[in-house]
Parts: sequence; C-alpha cells; structure tokens
Amino acid sequence: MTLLDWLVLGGTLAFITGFGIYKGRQANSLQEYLLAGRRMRWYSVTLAIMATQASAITFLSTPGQGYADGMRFVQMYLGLPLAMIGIAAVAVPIYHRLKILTPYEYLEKRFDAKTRLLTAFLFLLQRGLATGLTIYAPSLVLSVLLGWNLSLTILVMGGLMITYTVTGGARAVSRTQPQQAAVIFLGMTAAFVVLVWRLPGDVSITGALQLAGHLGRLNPIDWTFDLQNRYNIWSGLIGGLFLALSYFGTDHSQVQRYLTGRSVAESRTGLLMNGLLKVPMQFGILLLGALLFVFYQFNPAPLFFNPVETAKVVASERRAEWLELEGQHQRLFEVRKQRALELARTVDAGPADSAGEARQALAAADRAVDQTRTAAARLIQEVDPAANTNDVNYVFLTFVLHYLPAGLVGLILAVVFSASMSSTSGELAALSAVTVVDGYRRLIGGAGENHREVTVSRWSTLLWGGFAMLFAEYAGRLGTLVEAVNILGSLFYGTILGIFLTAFFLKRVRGHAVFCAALAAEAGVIACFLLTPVSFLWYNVVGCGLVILLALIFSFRPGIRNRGASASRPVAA
Amino acid sequence: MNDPDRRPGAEAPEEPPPFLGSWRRFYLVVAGNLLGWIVLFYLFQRWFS
Repeated sequence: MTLLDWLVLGGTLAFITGFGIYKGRQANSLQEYLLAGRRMRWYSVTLAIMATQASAITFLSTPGQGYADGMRFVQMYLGLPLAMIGIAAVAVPIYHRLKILTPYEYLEKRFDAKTRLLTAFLFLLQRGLATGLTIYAPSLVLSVLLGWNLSLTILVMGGLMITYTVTGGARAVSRTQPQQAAVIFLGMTAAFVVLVWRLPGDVSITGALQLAGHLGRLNPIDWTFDLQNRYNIWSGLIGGLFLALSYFGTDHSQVQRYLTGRSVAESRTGLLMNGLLKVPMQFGILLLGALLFVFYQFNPAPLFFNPVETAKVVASERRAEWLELEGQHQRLFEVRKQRALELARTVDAGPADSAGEARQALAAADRAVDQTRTAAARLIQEVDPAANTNDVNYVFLTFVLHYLPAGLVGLILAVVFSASMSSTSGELAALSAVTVVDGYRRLIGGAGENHREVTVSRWSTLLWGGFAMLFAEYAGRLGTLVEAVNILGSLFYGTILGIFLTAFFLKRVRGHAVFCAALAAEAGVIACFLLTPVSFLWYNVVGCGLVILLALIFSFRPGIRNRGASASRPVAA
Repeated sequence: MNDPDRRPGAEAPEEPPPFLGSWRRFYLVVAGNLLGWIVLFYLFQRWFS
C-alpha cells in the first residue's frame, strides 16, 4: 500500500466515523436513539436497507463466487422483490399503526409474552453470531492479504463502528449509511472500469463476455428443479422469497431501518425501491467476478489465492512438489492464454458458430489449469489437514492489490471497511434495541424512563459489539463466508417467519399453540440441517411451513387452545 | 385501543406513493421488473453461451 492509499483509507474512515458521532450526538430519547425519531425519507430508508444487507462479505466474496462458480448465485435474490411487495402491503402498516419499537412487541400484543421472548431470543442468537461473521470475514481477508494482525484488524474494524453506534444509535447509523453507500458505489465502479480497461487491446467487452459464457461463468438462470442444488430459479424464487420475507419482515436489523421512515408511505417506498435495485446490483457484482475470471485468462494469477496457506506449504518438506505445481500452472496458463486470445479473435471476427474448435481448445486448457489448482488444494490439505482450501474470498482483493493504481487500492479498502461498518452498525443498533425493548424494558424496567433506557441501550450496544468481536476472533473456517452467513440465517429465519405469518393471517391460532409449534419446527429445521442433503434455502420453507402446520394442528386440540387463549393478552397500544 | 388483528387498510385512506400514483401500480412495477430481469438473464445467458 502506498501513502496515497493510506491517506484515502484513513481520510474516508475518519470522515465517516466523525460524521456519525456528530450527527448522532443529540440522540437523547429512546425513539431518537432506536428509530432516529421516525423522520427518514424513503431514499434514506432505501439506502439504509441496502447498506445493512450488503456487508463487506458481499463485496469481497461475491466477485469470488462469480469467478469460481459463475453467476448462478444471483438466483438467490429472485424472491426478494416479491417479499418486498408482501412486507410493504401487510407488515409495514401494522408495525406503523402500533408504533412498536421492535417487531417482537407485536407478537406479545397478538399472542403472549413467551412467544415474543422466544422470537426475540432467536433473533438475538442468530443476529449476534451473524454480526460476528460480518466483522470476521473482511478482517480475515484483509489480514491475510495485507499481512495485518487478525485480532488487531477485528479490533479496529469493530471499534470504529461501535464508537459512533454507541454515541448516536440508529440516528448515527442512518446518517452515515449514505456516505458509506457512496464510497461503495464509487469503489466498485472504479474496480469494474479498471478491470475492463486492463483486458488485452484486441479483446472487446463483447469478446470478454463470450469468453466468460464459453467458460460457464455466465449462468444466471438454471431451470432445473433440484432440492440439493443450492442455486436454481426455484430455490431462488421460493426459498429466496421465504428467506427475504423473514429477513426483511421479521429481523429487526432490517425492520429497524424502515421503522425510521416518517410514514407508512416512506417505509413502503424504501422497501419497494430495494426490490427494484437489489437484483441488478447483485448481478453487477457477480458480473465483475465473471469478468475477473476472463481477466485472469490473460494475466497471471497465483496458483492459490490465499497466501497464508501457500506459505505453509512452501515452508514444509513438500516445498519441491509445490514449486513443481507452480511451474506447471505457469506453463498451462500460457497455453490457456493463447487459446483464449484465439477464441476472442474468432468470436470478434464472425458468428459464434464458427468458433467451435477454438472453444473446445480453450475448454480443454481451462480444465488442465483447474486440475493443477485442485492438485494444489490437495497438497495444502495434506500438509495441514485443517487448512481452508476454498480461496474464493481472496480472489477480488488479490486483483485489487496487484492491478489497481495507487489511491484506488485505498478506496477499495475503504469500500470493505464502509460496507462492514454500515451493516455491522445497523445490526448492533438492532441488537441493542431488542435487548432493551424486549428484554430490559419487558422483564426488568418499565417504559418511560427515557434517559435510563438510552443509557442501557448504549451499554447494550457496547456489549453486543464486544460479543461480536469475540465471536469474530473464534469464527474459524466457514467455507465461503457469504454462504455461511446465509446458512446461519436460514436455520432460524423459517421458524421466525412462520410465527409472524401465523400472527398476520391465522386469527384462530393463539399463543401457546404457536409457541409449541415454533419449538418443534426449530428442532425440525436443525434435524434437516444435520441429517439431510437438502440445500439451505429450503430450510426457510420447511421452518415456516412447519410452524404454520403445527400451530393449526395444536389449535385444534381443545386443551392447548384454551390455555393459549387465556395466556393471550388483551391489546392496548 | 389498537387491534393488531385488524388488517392493514382498515383505517384512514392510505397515503399514496411518491410516484406511480397508487400502491397497486407500484407493486405491479416491482413484480414486472423482476420478470423483466429473469427474461433478460435468460437471454443474456443464451446469447453468450
């Protein structure tokens, strides 16, 4: 990193943190601290929703996903726009009308205290762990590629956003997210432009896309219905719909973002704009990864993108084998480069049908390079059986560090920090809100002691930040990090969504029935995870379906229904 | 006294969206946009493969 990179990175982070502290300094009431005074316009709500969802993992791991696996990951987001419509139409008016601070408050009004506490607990458990991952993931990648100390990186990354989130709560979070989003947009656009600009002169953008297509990287739609296949249009539309319904409709890290809207219309519009923008945004990031794959057809790539794992092998007694593989990889790269150039020229010169031979030659050369990388991964694992042989999280940042000019490297690192800060601060503010409103206020204190509650909120933000950093220290190996976060969420989201859908639509079902159904459904989802090969997006459907089905069955048992009815509290809001 | 079981839209007339005139139209645009992206992705995939 050059001095200019450090200046860009340091200046961006200092500005955002300082701005957050400045804007959040007047958050003295609980409404102000937890919901930014409910004064946000729809465009701020949209930015906040998108910035909270798009963590640093999104920008580090997703291009790597496009590089290694093509664009089929985009299908996971196809259910999202439909979920936005459902939440905007049903949940937003209810949440606004009841003037609740967290969605779990609604569950007590609708069912009973234990259902509210169970759901709040599931949220805290899932979101607390996921927040640790959103700090850990970028810290790990930065520490590996830049040689920074992992614990120190986690401490700096966590410490910065804890500082302004503790100070200003949701208000500081909402005020800093537009700046963070601007940095992210600028940085990713710059990376895209440089990548295309550094392709060989005789390879047009169309030729590059043809190459990506021939090498199986432009595969955004898979019509095959297969429960074990993670990403196809059906798992995306159905499983992704349930995941998005649960995440945006019941996870307070998102609900808090649109509860800051000044009216139902502002919150709804914020959500619907997210429904319009999210799919093309993910498509763009994955396309960057697919083009990165094309870029590395013409520019040398390391045999393995994680330098720490590479260093372990080089330092071991298997060093000679590794060097042999590196030599082989270099030779095969040159062959593949020639084949890629031939195909790009053929495609640019005439119809794609005439490129049959060149296409087959490139595919064969690519397979040979793949086999060398597989052999390298095997060697890494033989040297250290606990090693992580998945290097997709390092692909994008390796490109940034080796090929981007001075200044832009600092900007991309600022993107990583900004994305991490915007999502983590939103999550911390939500964890704090649920701890105070559904825990402290419900079980210990009473409503109305504003100053005391704000103080408790600040302390709980600090404690959750500490917990997340501690978990980040011990997060360990989790494969592709973006998938790990989604798998973790899918273990709980289906059950939580089932509780809320029952609350919205099944008026006959009472508290005790839905509570027992939720416990049984969660056990079912965990069994599904441990004992079946079913892909994780379907856990959302399974959990939600089980809650609704079991709640209906339990409601028809007179004993349970009566108890539930007596436990159900009268509504007053 | 609020009733959480009461369905949305049962109270005062809804505030319209800042654009597109009605919520129904806004929902249709979001759903149509999704459909458009799926078709475009499919054509994109076919064109470049």
